[in-house]
Amino acid sequence: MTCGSIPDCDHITHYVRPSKVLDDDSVDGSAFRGGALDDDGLSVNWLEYFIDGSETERLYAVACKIQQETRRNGRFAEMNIREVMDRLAIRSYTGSVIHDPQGAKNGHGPDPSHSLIRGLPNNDPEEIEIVADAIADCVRILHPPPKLKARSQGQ
Amino acid sequence: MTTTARPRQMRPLTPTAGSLREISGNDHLRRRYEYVPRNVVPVSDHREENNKVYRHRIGTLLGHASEEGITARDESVKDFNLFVDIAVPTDKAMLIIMDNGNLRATWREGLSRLSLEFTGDLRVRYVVFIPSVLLGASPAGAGDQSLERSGECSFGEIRTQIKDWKLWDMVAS
Repeated sequence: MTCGSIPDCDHITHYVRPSKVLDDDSVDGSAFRGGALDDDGLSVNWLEYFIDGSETERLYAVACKIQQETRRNGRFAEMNIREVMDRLAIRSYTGSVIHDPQGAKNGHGPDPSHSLIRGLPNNDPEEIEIVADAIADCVRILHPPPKLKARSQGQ
Repeated sequence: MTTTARPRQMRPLTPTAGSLREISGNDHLRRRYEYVPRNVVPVSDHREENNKVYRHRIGTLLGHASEEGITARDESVKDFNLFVDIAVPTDKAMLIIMDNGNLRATWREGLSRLSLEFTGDLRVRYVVFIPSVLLGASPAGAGDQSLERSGECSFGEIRTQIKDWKLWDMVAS
């Protein structure tokens, strides 16, 4: 169930698997297409959802809840929403980031900060490639995954 | 007094030392013999060093792919090795492995970037970004827009395109 658009001044993060992290510790655009992108949009997490805490604590909160396995060599790519929207606008796409909290599923607990980038191309393969690489260029900070305590089932 | 001219020293070019000739229509790469001055540093040492670095990186990526359930495509890896050895000799490629098992190489300099996905059959899918300030004289109607393009082509075609886009110095060693 979506809960409306997120302010442009806020930040989102997207987990990048190790196979998509480049030699210079930046993100390849392929991290923002394929399985990450479906008809609903590109899955991301809203950092400012966790109002209290430092940047590190917010990232820890996201990493605790994210509904996929994270690896030591993976990265959390942080982006400013305004920058992503401006970049999409260059290619004439009107994008938005919608708060889309997820309930527990597939053995994972709820992900309350889950959000979606909408307005992305999903039919034209060439446009998908270009937009994905453009989003990768918006990544400003690449965080190593925080060390988490072992999750219990449904936590 | 007659003198006998000393025969020129001829030796086969190593792929990274010489220029390439393509057979039109078939798009294959062919070596040719060419005079090489004695003071030219042999390129085999540089290529071996590059290959070692790439082998290590590809090995790391294959490990990640295995953990993530991705099956790497041998044909893509072989094509990449052929590309960086012969088509566009380079030691600057940054690599990842895609969910479809293909290797993807990226080169960046400032706001310019070129990414090539090695799909097999000596072909690549490319994504190129070039800011307008670097495009120079643009074709009629292009205005001041930067170049953002995606497509698919052969090794020979992308080699030509890299030169046309003035990205050779960014890509090649």
